[in-house]
Amino acid sequence: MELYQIVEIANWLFLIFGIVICLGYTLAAIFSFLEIRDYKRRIRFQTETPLLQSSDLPSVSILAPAFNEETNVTENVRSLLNLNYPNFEIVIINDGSKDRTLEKLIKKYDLEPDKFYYHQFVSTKEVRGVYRSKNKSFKNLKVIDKKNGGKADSLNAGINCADHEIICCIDVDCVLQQDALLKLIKPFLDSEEKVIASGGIIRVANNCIIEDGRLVDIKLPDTFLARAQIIEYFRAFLMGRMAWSHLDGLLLISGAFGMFDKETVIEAGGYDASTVGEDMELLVRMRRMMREQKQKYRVGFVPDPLCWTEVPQSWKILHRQRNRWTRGTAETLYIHRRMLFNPKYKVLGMLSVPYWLFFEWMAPIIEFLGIFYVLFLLLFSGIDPVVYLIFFITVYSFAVLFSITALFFEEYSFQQYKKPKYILKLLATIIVEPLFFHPFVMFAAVKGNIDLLRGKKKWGTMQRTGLTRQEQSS
Amino acid sequence: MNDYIKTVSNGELILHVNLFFSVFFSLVSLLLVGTILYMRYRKLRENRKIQKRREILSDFMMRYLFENPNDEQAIEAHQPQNNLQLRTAVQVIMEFVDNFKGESLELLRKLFYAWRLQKYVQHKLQSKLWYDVAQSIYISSELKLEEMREHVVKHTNSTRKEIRQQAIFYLINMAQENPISFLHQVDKPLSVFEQIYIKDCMDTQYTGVIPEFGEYLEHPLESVQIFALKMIAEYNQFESIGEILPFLESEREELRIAAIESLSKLEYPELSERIEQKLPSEKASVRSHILRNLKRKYSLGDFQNLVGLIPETDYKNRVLHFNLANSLRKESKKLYI
Repeated sequence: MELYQIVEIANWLFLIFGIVICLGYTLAAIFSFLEIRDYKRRIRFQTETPLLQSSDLPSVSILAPAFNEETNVTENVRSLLNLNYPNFEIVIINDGSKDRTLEKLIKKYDLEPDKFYYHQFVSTKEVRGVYRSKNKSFKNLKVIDKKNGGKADSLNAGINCADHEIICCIDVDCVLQQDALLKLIKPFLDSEEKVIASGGIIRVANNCIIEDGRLVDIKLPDTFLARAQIIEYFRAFLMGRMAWSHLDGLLLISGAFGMFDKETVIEAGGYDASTVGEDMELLVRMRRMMREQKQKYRVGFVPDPLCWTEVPQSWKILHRQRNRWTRGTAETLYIHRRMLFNPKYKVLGMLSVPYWLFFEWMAPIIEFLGIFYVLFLLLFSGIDPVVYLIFFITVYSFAVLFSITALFFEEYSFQQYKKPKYILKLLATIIVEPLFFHPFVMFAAVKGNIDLLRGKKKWGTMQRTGLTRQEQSS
Repeated sequence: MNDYIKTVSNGELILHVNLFFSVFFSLVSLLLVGTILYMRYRKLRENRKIQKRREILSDFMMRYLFENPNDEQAIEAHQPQNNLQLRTAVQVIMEFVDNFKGESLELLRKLFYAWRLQKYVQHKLQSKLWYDVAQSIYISSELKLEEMREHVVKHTNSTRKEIRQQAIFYLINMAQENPISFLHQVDKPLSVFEQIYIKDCMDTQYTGVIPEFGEYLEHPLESVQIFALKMIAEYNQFESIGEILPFLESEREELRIAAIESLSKLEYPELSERIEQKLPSEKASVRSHILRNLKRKYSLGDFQNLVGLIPETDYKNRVLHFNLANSLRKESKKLYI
């Protein structure tokens, strides 16, 4: 085959991929809009008060792994203790912290070793002990101390110790809205089919004001990096997951905040500690299992802003996080490769898994190859810069349009950023984001794939600068 | 090679298509930016208007309720003129209704009719849009608008869940007696969510005599039967125990579970005996409930022996074993870990 023929084929492949991706995003935007509009209309007449008084409301075990969290762990637990829900327990899993996480918890909450029958429904690293408070005010707090085994292993230990049938897995440093559990439990109550999991939208907490573990003022972060991630989260949650929820094709419930039916989780084998994308892998496995058992089920999704988390403020940490996310996605897709284009799994097999493969995992690789391809053409073929520029402008304008659509959805739905100047700042971020933030994330994803091929399994540390907390009232 | 590349890349059509889409995407982006800014501006403006209107109406209604309820001119002067004013008026009246009772409540209803707000509600009720219908029933329910009953009843089996739920709550709110008689006509299953809200409406809105739930045990829908079983226990209707007992032998495991839970709450003395003998042959999910109810009777050791009779593969009972052993741990001297 002649070189020009290869070039021609490559041109068409890149073009087709680009068009398919644009169409996919456009469809996602349409489905998301329908879902958000429907949700907004649905919640007009609903209040959670009757749920608070009901004895029919399922009890919930909140599982929060903690590794080297001595700085904020006691405050975070206090925030969890303040949640509005009639019956819940908090299970903090100290994952072999090297700092004073456990000591601080013991001291602050007056903990003592508890007699506890520990059964490994899901296998985990050794559990050294379980602690409960002597103080009755904290009777719903349980702390597990175990050998270090990672987040998935910690969550499995939490599952083994959880008293209740519904578990809510969270990141210990997340700030939950007071009514977060009441809202997230709703899909479990209002469905004719068995609900195996329910997820919510994650919001960026950087720069927001937290008081006594409660979010009291929503502010826009000062740094471009955090603002770019706000836009990215709008796209991922308000467009991506809303659309998948509409199609019943959700493959991921964020590890930062998700509710699960414990029985189904245990039956599916719990979290897979050997992958770094344990949250996605678990949901895919649960859904696959339900489908293979031919059981009717549903995965709920609640678009209210219920969980706020701190996003990376430094490029280095962001790189580490995205690297890990890519490895997690690739591992999950590999583990469940049999689902790909398998009609047995319906929407999951025919749409969700192919989407994740081609548009989530493969897109950064193709984009990266595309850059090399353009460089190759510039160097060896004397490509007309005007032609290149026109193609670039098309892609750039679509990227900006997509982000603006996500911002429009936010404005249409929950409008969390009240000050008009925030909207202007976000618009400015949208214009710059495809030029700086997106290429960086793409490179991190490519590096993630390389690391995966080299056998890297580590999570990497996620250093946090800490949320803006007002002085605590005693 | 340059020539070939140029031939491919400089194809007129592809460039024109790209240029077209660049302009198109940019224009749509600008349009969306304009829409976002307009939405923000409109919302701020609307909120200000609503706030102002609310203040005016609240002041007027306080005067109306406590100073001069017969000032026809003032009532006419505050007559809502447009959609926003209608919406605000309904909201403010509903807030007042929440906080006042007796004579004041009657005055508020009089004001509602004087402002002809029932036409607004009726108009929404006849809409083809499900959310307008649901909202209209919601308002009718909060304001106890009896004249809407005929229209609302039709919606108890609506295909749209939200309409169905509002219709159910309306009928309970409006009932003077037998608030759940509509269940006889219901042909869609009741979700747990609906069951919770029905119970809440009965506790907080309905003031009449609590109905006999036993009559719903023969309902063709399993969810209604389960609801009835729960409510019998919730309202201590001991006289229905005889009607519950056959459900222990029901073919449906959910009904057997509901019957066990109900009889347990009612502290039916022969329950342990009746369910213990069924333990080896029961399905896993029912066994869990049997064991949970038997735990009161046994020490930890005896209980473990009982669980030991159940196959290891029975996952649910392993979970239960674990949970119960923990709940009974204080009785044990053994430190498990």
